[in-house]
Amino acid sequence: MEISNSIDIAASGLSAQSARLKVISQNIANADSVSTTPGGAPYQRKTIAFKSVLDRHTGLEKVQVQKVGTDNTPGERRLDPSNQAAGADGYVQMPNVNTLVEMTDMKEAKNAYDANLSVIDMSRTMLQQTISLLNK
Amino acid sequence: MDISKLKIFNMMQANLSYLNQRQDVLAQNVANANVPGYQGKDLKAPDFSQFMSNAMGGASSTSHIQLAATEPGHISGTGNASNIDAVTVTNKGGEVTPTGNNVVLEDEMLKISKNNLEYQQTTGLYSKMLALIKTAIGGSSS
Repeated sequence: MEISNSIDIAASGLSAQSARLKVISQNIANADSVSTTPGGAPYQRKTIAFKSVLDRHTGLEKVQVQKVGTDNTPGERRLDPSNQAAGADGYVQMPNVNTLVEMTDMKEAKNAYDANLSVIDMSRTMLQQTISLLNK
Repeated sequence: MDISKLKIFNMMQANLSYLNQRQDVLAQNVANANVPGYQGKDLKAPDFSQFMSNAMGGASSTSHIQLAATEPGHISGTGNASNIDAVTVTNKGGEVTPTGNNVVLEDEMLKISKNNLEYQQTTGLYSKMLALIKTAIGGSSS
């Protein structure tokens, strides 16, 4: 069945984008997660990469999560001697999460998710039009 | 009389099959819109003028599109008209992101909705033709 191929592919796009949203929400939730030990490392922002994979059954390229990595750029250091994570010099290493970047990324992920969703909708309409030929 | 011998049905079947395949390719573009280095693809429409000249000419005995035999060893099969292998082309240019992806979601959505509209048109025409035949054989056309 050919139209269900496109539904399959759009579904792979949906799952990839929702994995991306998961990573983004994880980053936002941990925007203030500092270390539990004095002078320890805070939460490091996670990144996600996609790749296209040839689906041998249909001969079309699906999308898959390639890997979830870690962004190792150091975050800012804030002077807060009373914090449990403060080192000997009184500075706390903060996570490297920029909420603005995450929000923009989230918008893009949502756009791509919506696009895949409307592809499924269109394909479904096409399938229904074909089926309705039977009623004539 | 066999319905599949009517040229108009053959053409409509070929068109539906092409639109089907194009929907797959466009869905693939949308799904891969965030993959680094992915190049958008599209399907080239089959040449329907060949169908037309066959249908109008009448003299020509072949009702099917012939497979291209580019090598002496190739078999000149009787390719069924409703089973066209349209050519996949890679989209060139356009807006390329820093990661080397040239899929523009808006363009793809536009193509998909046009594709969908054309599909609707063809299925509508198909049911009209069926109704015409029903009228001709004296059945009640709904």
